[in-house]
Amino acid sequence: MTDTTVLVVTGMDTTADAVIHELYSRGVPVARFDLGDFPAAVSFAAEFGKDIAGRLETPSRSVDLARVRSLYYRRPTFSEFGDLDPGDAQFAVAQARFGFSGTLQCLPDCLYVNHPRKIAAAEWKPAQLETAARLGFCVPPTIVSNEQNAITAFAKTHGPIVYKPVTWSGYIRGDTAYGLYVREVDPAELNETVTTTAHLFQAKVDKIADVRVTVVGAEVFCVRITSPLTDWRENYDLVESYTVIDPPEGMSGLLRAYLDHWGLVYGCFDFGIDRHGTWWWYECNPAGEWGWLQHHTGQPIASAFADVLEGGVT
Amino acid sequence: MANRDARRPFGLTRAAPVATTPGTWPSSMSVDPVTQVGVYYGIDGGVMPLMSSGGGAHGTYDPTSIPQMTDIDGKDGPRKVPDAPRSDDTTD
Repeated sequence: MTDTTVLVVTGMDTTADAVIHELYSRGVPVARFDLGDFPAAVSFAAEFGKDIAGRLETPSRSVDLARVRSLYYRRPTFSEFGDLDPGDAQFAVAQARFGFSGTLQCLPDCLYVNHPRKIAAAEWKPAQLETAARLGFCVPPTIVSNEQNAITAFAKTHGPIVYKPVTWSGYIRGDTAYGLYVREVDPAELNETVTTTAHLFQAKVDKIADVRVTVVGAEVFCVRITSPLTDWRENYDLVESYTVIDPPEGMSGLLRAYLDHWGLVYGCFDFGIDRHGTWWWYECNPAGEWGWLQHHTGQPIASAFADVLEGGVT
Repeated sequence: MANRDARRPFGLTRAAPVATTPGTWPSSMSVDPVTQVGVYYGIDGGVMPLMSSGGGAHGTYDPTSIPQMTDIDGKDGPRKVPDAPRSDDTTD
């Protein structure tokens, strides 16, 4: 095990740096590269028989693809082939995705944190909602629809309501990047524009605080976030406190059951806590950010990542 | 265009400029050939935003708080270090 490598697949990322530094301090071999480095700075050759045989070459590492103990898939960028004609680039992008990324997805005896295909599967919000409710989390009443009448009726029954995007796809208008933060919706605002595409509305949780839970392997890190805003992400300067708390009884088992359902090693869960102490499930991001929480609270999250990456498949 | 604006999905009427934080993105990054930690260039004030999946930034982070070894035996540029990074020629 000691001579097998941990691959960290990322670009500019100080959160990944914290994990890499932890692994380095333990003497664990690490190779860091970005999928977008291929083919300009990274090359590979893999032969497929009974076993995979081949190597991955980065500017500073040469890695035996049959001897990778774990892979940390940390928000990589992808090759764009901007130096090719658009049609040629489209072909090259697809070949890189299915050839290079595809090879990295099937390394033998490799622990993926998390596997990219499992990340992709776990990102669908409707499936998240269904799974969370079935496992026993308290999930706010939710509707996903493009029918104005159905949404209006939902607001009458479950109001006050908030709007949330079903997924985040980025939005730039002019030169400005926009975010879709969670805000209350006045039912009088609902109009025919809800019919343009699918929309998600949810009963607003009468919260007194939010909780971000980062689960890494068997470790559960809970941080209570106090902000006057419905969505604390809208203005970090208004966050009043980050407080380390323990999960309520039974919560850790639910969290692990959720991750096991999707085959995930780690996940970032968001909850709202109401005045009765109930934790209302919002979502689980299978590739969520956690570096800023370690920064604010001192929770050893990078160390927990290093533990699972060092341990590999058990 | 007027019709298009009228048809803009309801969800996008809730859009607000992403939260901004002090600091700037690095202009470039290289990977320390021994530690594999990122070495960042062009960061104003020594802090950079941490990315969030929602398009904003989770506050700022000082990348210099992560120990980096950018000057290894006085040699510049990346070197091939077969698999094991902790070879005898590191400075620690």
